[in-house]
Amino acid sequence: MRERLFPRWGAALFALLPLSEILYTTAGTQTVYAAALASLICALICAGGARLAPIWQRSRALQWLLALFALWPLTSSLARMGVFLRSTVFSSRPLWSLILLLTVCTMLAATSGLNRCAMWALPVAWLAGVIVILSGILTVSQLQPMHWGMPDATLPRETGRILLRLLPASLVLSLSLPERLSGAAARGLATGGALFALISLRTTLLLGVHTAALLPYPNFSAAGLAAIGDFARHGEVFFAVPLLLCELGRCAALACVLLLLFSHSYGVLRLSRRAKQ
Amino acid sequence: MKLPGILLLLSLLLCGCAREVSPVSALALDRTDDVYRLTAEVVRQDSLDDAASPAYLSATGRDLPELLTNLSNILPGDLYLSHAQVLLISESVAEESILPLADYLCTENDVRLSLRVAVVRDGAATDLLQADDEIYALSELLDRAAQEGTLPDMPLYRVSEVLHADGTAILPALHLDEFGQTAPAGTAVFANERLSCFLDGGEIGGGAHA
Amino acid sequence: MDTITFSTDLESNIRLMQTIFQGDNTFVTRRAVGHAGLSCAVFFFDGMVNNIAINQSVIRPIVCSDLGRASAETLCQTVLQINDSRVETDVSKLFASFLYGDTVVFTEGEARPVVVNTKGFSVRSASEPENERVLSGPREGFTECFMPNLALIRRRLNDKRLKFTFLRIGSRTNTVVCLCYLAGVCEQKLIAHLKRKLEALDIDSVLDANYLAERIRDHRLSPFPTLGTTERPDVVAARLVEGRCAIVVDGSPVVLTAPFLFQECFQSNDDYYISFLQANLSRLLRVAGFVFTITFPAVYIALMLYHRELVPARLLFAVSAAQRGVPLPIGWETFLLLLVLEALKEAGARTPGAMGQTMSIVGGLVLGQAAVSARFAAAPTVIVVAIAGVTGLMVPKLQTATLWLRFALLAGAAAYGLYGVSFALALVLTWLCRMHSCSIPYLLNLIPRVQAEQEDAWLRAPWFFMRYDRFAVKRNSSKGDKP
Repeated sequence: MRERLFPRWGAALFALLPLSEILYTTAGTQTVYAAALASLICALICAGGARLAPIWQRSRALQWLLALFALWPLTSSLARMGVFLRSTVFSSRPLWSLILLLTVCTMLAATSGLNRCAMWALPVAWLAGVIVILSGILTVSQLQPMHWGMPDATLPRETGRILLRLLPASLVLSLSLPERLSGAAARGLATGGALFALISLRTTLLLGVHTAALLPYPNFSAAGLAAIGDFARHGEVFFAVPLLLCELGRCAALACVLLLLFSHSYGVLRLSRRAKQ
Repeated sequence: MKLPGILLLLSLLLCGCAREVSPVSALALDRTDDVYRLTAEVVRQDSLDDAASPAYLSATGRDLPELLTNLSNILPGDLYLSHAQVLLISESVAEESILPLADYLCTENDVRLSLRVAVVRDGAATDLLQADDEIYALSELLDRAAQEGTLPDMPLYRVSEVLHADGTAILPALHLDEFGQTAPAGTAVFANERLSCFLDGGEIGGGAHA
Repeated sequence: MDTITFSTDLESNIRLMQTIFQGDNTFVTRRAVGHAGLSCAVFFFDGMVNNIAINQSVIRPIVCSDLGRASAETLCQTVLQINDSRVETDVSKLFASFLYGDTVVFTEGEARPVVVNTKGFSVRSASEPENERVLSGPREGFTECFMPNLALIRRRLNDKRLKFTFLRIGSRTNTVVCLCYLAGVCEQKLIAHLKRKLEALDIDSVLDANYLAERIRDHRLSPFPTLGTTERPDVVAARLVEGRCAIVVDGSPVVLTAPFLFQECFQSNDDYYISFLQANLSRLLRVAGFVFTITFPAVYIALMLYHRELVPARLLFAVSAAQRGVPLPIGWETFLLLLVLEALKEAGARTPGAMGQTMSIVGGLVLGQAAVSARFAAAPTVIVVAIAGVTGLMVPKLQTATLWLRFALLAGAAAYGLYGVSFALALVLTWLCRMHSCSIPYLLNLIPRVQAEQEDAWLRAPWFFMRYDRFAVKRNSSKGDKP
């Protein structure tokens, strides 16, 4: 089959971006609105960025610039994943060893090219979506609507904080797309953003603003209250695994942008002679 | 094929030194003067055929981190709080601010956010914990009472939230009845993060009304 | 062989043949002289030929012939009373046929021999293959005999577009290999691709289909199969109808089919012969079984080492109690028990007949029980390994992948808990996304979905729902793609 990035795969790849923010975002009344707003802004910007992608890709200098820019979201993603793993499970392991593991996994996935990363993103995005929704459903009975709050003056600042993490990666990927997938990028970001906002809402209504503020990873901790009978009580890890995979996919896609300079066929390394144009 | 094989074996080596754990099913916190006493109900099961039975270990200290450190020092394995479902606090503990206690437990990785906190009325929390030989009997009692609405449904994360919000909270109260058995003893009312008074069973209809 | 030249003198031809096959006691030379002086020499290998055919269709017509002399053509067309005979001038083809059970006849005054098809070696009956049994449906299986195998395929596909293209591979074995396809249904590119690969092979022997499979398949180091194998003619016929190619190897009951997609690993013959409701449930169970068998031991040790909080309290206490006194850490214990399981399977497979079954039962039950009693292993670990072993049998086509993935995930779990397992699975998925079989994505229909094949991907649609053009595997399937 011809190397091609299908719109649905593209949408899945972009859906990973907001989904991978879930673990690290604080929960509060404004986070719900901020998550939705930031995802919407990203979707609009990326839809425009994807239209500009062919022009952008014609210039070698701009491609280099983009690749260097991709290092920022890539390294910050790897670092925060490492910190998350260390502070939740592997407290006795050195941070560098965890980051090294994540980097190796990222590079192994990235060498298969942007197309395959997007193909891989489809089942992972579905898995993460299902787990997030399931986690929400299992805690519905414990939600307390009194924790709900209306938007206030802190919303722009909260939106800005999320945008700062979400936008660089989205922009880099939208400008590196092999085909015009602006619609797919917008759809993916909007869907991921909707799930992001919903799960933030769940955490706020479940834990309350103050308890959520105490916790380093409130969405993660709130997922521990979703149990099926006596099974998976304290089962945050089931929630974290697909979201970390989303972030791994995001890192792999960003690493692909770095490799694009040395590759053909949308990121399949030149080392692979069998890869087709 | 050699390299993947070696990597596989090396990975398995990483799990060679996992220590045995001492799972705790319930905790009781008492205070005498400025010294706290933490008692843990540690679950022991020696073989598959035996039933799990509780063993009680106590440690003293000036604050909760110190108590937990001291307790883990006297345990045969790692102190393991993930399966702890109940924390009993005595009246003397409840009479001072319980917010730091709730905050600390919320931020502790191992502790479940659904841990139930109850106040022991007219007696030491340790005595009430040791009164029952069956593990998880207390948490089942509190769960059932919360479902039926006879005691407030206040897991740890809700306690922390309401205390932070306005310093007012209600917690289930337990006591040892005349037969030496654990029984619900109404509701403990907290104001300004401190125990204010007790309401008997009929006076408040559980968490829903609270 | 190319330097051998025959003369018109019968005696010198006989001497030449006897020299060539000197030392071979199965080589038989029979002189036959007719009433009117027709002198012939008949050569064949004992045991490879049908003796009745030689006696009645070759020797008797020569002996009873009224001719004094006959050319090779006359001998072939007039004297010999057999359905398949020819004058052969190519020495290499002559010897290939002769060594394969044909009879060679020389006559006086003629340098060109006549080759008579008298193959008659003993063959096994087309019984149901042990590895691919079905509850209902056809029960014939391929045998080691080449032509009957092709006949089994043709009997099921009475289509004039069915083509059998022969090739000879192996400098020593000179094995006949047949490329089967339905012209017009199978893509020309695929046929050319496979033919090119087969013709490019430079090997000395082909004793089984696997000799070819390991050489011509894509991703040769991958534990996932990229060429299909079957011993059932109905499966081959179905694959051919779907636009695939089949490769039949002489001497092997295993037929290769290409391309092979990941979804086929979970398909069973029974799926098409029983109700679709039952078939789909079985198919989903097989998928679950595969996931279960590779992840169960890994998840077990991940939970016990890193995520005990997930385990229900009483279960955790029971497992911890069982683990007490066992000398090895749980990761090593599971690893070694999995090795023992593989050893038992190997012993059971290599031990003949009923003894093999006994071995498995003794190994599984008695050794397991004894190991638990002696505190060599904990009972929960034995149970986990046993369940992994049993579910591993549900998808026989993925047994190699199952074996390797089980250990790889176990290592991931031992090192990084459930995160290690999930990262390892993610990398496996990446690898599967990269794979292809004959230029067709390996995960076709599962992730890159093709509308035309959705009726038989994750689930099998009922027969009345399937379209006529549902099958054809396209190498360039941009048309009809629904990503």
